[in-house]
Amino acid sequence: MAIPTDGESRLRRFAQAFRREAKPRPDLATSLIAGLGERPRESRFAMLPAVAMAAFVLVAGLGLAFGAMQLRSLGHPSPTPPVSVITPTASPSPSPTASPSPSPTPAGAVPGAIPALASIQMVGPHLGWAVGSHAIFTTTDGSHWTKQFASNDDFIGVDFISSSIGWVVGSQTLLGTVDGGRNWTPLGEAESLIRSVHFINANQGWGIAGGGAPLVMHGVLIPSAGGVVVVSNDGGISWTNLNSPRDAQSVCFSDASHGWLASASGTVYRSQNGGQTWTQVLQMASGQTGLSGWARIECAGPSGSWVQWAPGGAAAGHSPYVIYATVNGQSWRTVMAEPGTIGNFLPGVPAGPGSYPGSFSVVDAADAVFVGDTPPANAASTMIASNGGATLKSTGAIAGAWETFDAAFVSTSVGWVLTVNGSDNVIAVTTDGGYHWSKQLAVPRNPAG
Amino acid sequence: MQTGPFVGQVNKEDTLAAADRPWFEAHVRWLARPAFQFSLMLTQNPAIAEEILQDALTQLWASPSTPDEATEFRRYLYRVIASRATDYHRRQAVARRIHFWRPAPADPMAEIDRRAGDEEMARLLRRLSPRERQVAYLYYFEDQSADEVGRALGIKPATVRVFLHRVVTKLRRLRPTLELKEQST
Repeated sequence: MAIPTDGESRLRRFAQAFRREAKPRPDLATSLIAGLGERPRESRFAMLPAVAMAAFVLVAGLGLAFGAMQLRSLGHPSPTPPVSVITPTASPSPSPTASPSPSPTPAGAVPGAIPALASIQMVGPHLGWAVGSHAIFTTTDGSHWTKQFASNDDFIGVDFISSSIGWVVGSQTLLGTVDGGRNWTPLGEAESLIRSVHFINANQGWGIAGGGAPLVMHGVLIPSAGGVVVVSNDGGISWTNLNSPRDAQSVCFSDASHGWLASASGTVYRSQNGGQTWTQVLQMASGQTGLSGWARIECAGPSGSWVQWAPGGAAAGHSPYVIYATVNGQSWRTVMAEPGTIGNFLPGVPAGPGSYPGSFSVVDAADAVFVGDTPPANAASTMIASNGGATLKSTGAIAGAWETFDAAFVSTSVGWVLTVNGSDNVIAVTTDGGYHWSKQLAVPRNPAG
Repeated sequence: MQTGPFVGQVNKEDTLAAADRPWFEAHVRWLARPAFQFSLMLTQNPAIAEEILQDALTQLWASPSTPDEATEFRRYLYRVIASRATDYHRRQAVARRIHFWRPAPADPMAEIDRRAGDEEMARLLRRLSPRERQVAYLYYFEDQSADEVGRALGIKPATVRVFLHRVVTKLRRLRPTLELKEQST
C-alpha cells in the first residue's frame, strides 16, 4: 500500500497501524492480575548497574593481580609461557533485550481495537440489535437495551432481515440466529475471514471476505485491499468466492440478481446476475495520488443505492469524504462532500456534516440521514438528505460526541447512533430528526478502540 | 437476560482474590492493551514493556493512594509507566557506556514495524527522546489533548506544547518532506 506523503496523515495512519499490530499476548491482563499477587521484585534491567559494577571490579581485580604477578617475576626467567591475558567476553547470560517475539498476527486478522458498540441495526421503531466488543445488545421497545449475548469474540457487523433471522459478523466467527438472538449459532467462513455480510432472505446472502488491514469503519469492517466477494445459498453455512473486481470493500444486493459493489479504487460496480459479472457504473472522485480509500455502499429499494467514499489523505482536522446516491440505478448525484478538503475540488457540491467521514443510515432510495464527525468541535452534527440527495437539511448535534461508530434510522425522524460520551460508548436516540438527542445505553469504552 | 453458548466462560481463578478493591481488576482488564502499547512505544521491546507494565501495576496495587476512578487510574498508571520507562533508558545508557556489554541483536520491534507498514516512520519516532516520545504517543496515538497529556505525565500543558513543537521540528529536520503541521494551541 502506498505511504501517504502528508505528514500528519501519515503519522496518524502509522499510529493506527501500530495500535493494531502491537498486540500483547492474549492472556496479558490475566497474567498481570496474577502477577499482582507476587511479592514486588527487582526488575532484571534494574540490576544492570550492579552487574556492570561487579564486572568492572572483577576485571580491575584480575588486572591488578596480573600486574602483581608480572612484578614478582621481574628478573626471573619464566619456565612456562606467560600468563595469558584474560579478555572479557560477551556474557552468555540472557541479555535484557533478548525477548520472545510478539505473538504472530494471523494473516488478515481483525484489529483488536473494536469499539464496545460498533454496529447497530433496527428492524423497526422498537426492535433492534447493537454489537461490539464481546457483546450483542438488543432492545424490544426501542428504549431499553439488554445484553443478549456475551463472547470472547469481537463483533463488527449486524444484518437482520426480520425480527427473528439475522447474522452478526465477529472478528473470528460468523454467527446466525433464527429466534431473534435468543440463540446464536456459529456459521461457516469463506476461504478467508468474512468481513461483512448482506442477506436478502434466510438463505441467500453476499459478503466481503479476506483482504488486508481491515478497518472498522462506521458499522462495518472494510479491508484496505484484497477483499473478494463471497456468496452463500444456505444461510451462511457455506460460502463460495465469486469473481469480483479488485479490492472489493462493500457489497449489497437488492434482490437475488441485482447488486452493488464498491472497491478501494473508488469504483462502483453493478451486477444483474447475482454477482457472476460486474459492470462499472461510477468512478468516484480521486484523492491524493497513491492513496487507497475506503467505500461503503448501502442498497435502497429495487434500484437505489447510497455510497460513502473516503478517498484517503487528510489535512489538519479534516479527512475527505464524498457521498453519492442513485434512485433509479442510472443517474448518480454527488450529494455532499467534506468542505475543507475534497469539497474544494467539487464546485457546486454541498458541504456534508462533519470534517471526518461519519455514520449514515439509508431510510429508502430517496432518503438517508448522515451524522458527521467533527472531533475538534466535540459534537456530531446531523443532516437529512431527501429527494435522492437533492435536498439537504441540517438539524441538531449530539453534544460531546466527538466520534460516531454507526447509525440506524427507521425514518428521517427516528434514529439511533452509536457514539461516545466521556469514558463510555453510548447509544444516542432522536425522535425529531436529530434536533434533540437522549442517551439509552452506556457501556465502558474499550480504550484501545 | 438471554444466555448464549459462550456465556460463563470467565475463569474464576482469573479474578483477584482481594475483595477490598473490586475495581482494580476491571481497570487492569480495561487498560492492559493500551498501557502495554504505551510502554512498548517507549521501550521498543515487548518483554521490557510488559515487565514495566507489571511493575507499574504492582506499584499501584501496593499504593493506598491509587485512585479508583477509571480516568484518574489511567493517568496514574501512565505516569508510572513513563517514569519507569525513563528509568529504563537511563540504565540502558549506562549499559551502553560499558563496552564489553553487547545487547542481543534480536529486535522483536522490527516485525511490528514491518506489519505497521511504515518502517521509516517507526525509525523517525525512535529518534525522538524518551520524553518527546511519551508526549507524541499520547497526543498522536491516543488522541489525548494537551491538557490530558500534561495531567498524565505530570507536566504543564504549555510544556506539552513545547514538546510537541520539538517533535514536529525534529521530525521535519529528520525528514524534510514529511510536511508536518504545527498543532494549534
